[in-house]
Amino acid sequence: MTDRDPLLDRVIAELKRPIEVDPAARRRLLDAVAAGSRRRPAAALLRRAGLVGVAAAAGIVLAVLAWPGADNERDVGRATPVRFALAAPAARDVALVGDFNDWDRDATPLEPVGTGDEWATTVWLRPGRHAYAFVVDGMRWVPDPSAPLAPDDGFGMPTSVIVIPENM
Amino acid sequence: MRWVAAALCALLATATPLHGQDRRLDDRLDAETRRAVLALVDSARAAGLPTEPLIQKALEGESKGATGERIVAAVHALLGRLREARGALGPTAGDAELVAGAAAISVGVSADRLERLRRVGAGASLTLALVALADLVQRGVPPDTAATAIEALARVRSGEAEYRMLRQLVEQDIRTGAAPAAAALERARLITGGRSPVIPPDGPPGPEPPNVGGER
Repeated sequence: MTDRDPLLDRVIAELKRPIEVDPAARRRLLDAVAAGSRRRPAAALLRRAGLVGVAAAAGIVLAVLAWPGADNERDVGRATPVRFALAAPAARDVALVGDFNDWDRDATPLEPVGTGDEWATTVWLRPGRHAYAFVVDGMRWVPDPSAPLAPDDGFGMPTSVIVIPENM
Repeated sequence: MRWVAAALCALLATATPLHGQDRRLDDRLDAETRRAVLALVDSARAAGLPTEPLIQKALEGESKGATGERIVAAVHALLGRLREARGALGPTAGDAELVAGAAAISVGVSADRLERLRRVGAGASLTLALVALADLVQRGVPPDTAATAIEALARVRSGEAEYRMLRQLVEQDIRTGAAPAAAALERARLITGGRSPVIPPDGPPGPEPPNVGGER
């Protein structure tokens, strides 16, 4: 069992993948070797194939690193399960929104617990400061009464903050 | 060799446009707002500041039904505060510290007090300290008084439990009629073992933070 970064594993797997060599190129290579050609020696062809591999690997690495979700994926291994709960006896539905789900009201619904007075869900959060809120019945924004408040940026609805330490 | 270079350029070209766009914004903001937000995101990137908090601020605004103008204003303000926070917290400050510092600035905490809090040595708990600071101010504690209370906790290397205790006790005191400033200072004094400083509420910070004991 290793706790190596999954992104690193993916990159290594890509780099280890065998390079596909065009059969026609292979045939030309063998022809060139057989003919003792000076114009296109075997070493040059092999070097070319190697450069293609290097270029492809570089492109894969760059594409993976430049992908918007790459930061999140790098932190997946360090995520911590966090239970969010809200007492909302009269609610029909409750959702959790925050910077961990792009403030998407449909992404993280809470489930009623027990008699339905409390609503709860568990979310995996990576280390850092996260702003969030509950949305009750699709319209009422409610801060977490057990958490610090986040400043209002003029949007007019309260939000809360949770800090996930690096060493949790 | 030329076609190898061309292939590499093509691969790079497919990767680099991702910096100038964000699919999440494409789906949720109108074109004008999106352009303005992306310009601010590019400015942040050029300055070496974190960009994700700006995108999240825009998405938060959209989710709350804010106008495009309001969203751009909020993202713009956050960018300015992130710059200010980095100036106060230093170039090695992490993203979470910068965002928490920016939040503290937004409620009226001065960059000087942020810098002083960093010097006090909250260490790995600096984000917690900054979050607690912004929270106290929002509960009515004057910014400098809140900073003094938080500094007292930071000096004794407080963790999540101590900051949470401070918040809950101050909130409780305020509910029962205590003045927020007095509640913050008194509770900080108790949590740090009775050695908290008595600082004139919201007086100018001195050159050195008061010594309340604890490790340095």
